[in-house]
Amino acid sequence: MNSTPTAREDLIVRELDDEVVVFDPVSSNAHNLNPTAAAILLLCDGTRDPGEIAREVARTFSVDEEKARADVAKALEEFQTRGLIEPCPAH
Amino acid sequence: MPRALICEGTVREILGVRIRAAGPVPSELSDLLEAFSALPPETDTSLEIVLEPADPGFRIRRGSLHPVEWVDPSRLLPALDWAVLDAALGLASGVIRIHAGAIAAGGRGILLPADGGAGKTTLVIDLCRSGAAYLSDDVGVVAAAGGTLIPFPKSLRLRRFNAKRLTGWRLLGPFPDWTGGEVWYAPPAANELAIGEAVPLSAVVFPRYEADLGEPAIIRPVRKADALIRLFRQQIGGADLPLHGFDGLSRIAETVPAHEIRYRDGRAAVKRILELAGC
Repeated sequence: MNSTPTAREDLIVRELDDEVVVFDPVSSNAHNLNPTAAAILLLCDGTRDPGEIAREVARTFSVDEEKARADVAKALEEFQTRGLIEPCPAH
Repeated sequence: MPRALICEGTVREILGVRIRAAGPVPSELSDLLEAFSALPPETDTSLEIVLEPADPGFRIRRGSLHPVEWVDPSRLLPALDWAVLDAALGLASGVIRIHAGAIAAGGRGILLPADGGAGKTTLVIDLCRSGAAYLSDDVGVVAAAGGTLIPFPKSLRLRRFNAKRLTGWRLLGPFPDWTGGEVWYAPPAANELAIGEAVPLSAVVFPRYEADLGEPAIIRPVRKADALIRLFRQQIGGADLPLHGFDGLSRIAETVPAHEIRYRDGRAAVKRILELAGC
């Protein structure tokens, strides 16, 4: 996982009520994200590491930081699987 | 329809596609093109499907771009049905095409997107028998810009369940289906189905037949994001559109109320759907 994950710039994001649908023009797939996952994706701007993203999520959704860290780790893994964030640089 | 419809040089036009028999065709197959009798002849036709007698069977040629395909006589109508739909959908521009039934009631358009086997055709038939106008049983066409539901009134394609219960209907078939089952075709005009005009798309209803459901029908709103994902999955030919039609589908999900109806009783489902249209 990137130390500061970055959402792909070419994704098309539509906010519908409190949810977000992301269209991936490369794979032509559409993904429905719940509010927490959507917030995490939007925080993946390449400037924050997972710990900082978790702190933002904890503040925004009024949850404890431990739960936020678990949510962020799970979401980032899912984003990586779906190809929504930039791939890890080769080591 | 006149039985002389399909004979040497005969032309039939539907959905912007011209069907022409390029040679003599056995008279017992005259009925076949009746399945395409839903619309008055189009005048602005830009693609021709040519039906050529061959020995044995027929060849179907689609414009100059498609290879000739040979068709066994017993599969002629399903093959023509597919060829016409494929050509008509290919000609359409500025529209979103969704695997869905479509009806108009009280001046409002209702789209019924679902996978095969969910009961789309059955619901469309029952809605039309309850006063709704027929727009399509399988392909919902929506203007990408304005959210208008456009008629695509092809012949209804029936499975055994509907073919058996619709006593008194004028049906063509059975024909072997590519899935291994049987299909019948019901020309809407020959079965007194009123064909609707373009109407504003007012509701999207995702139907699902469940034989063991506890209640006759349950209807509930669908979240916009969920509706968008479901519409996206049922889109036809999205690859031809910018961003796979995502923007147009987003507009529909954003502006048109969406519901899901699960039902075991078609009459109850029809009642609930017509209530959505204010009928």
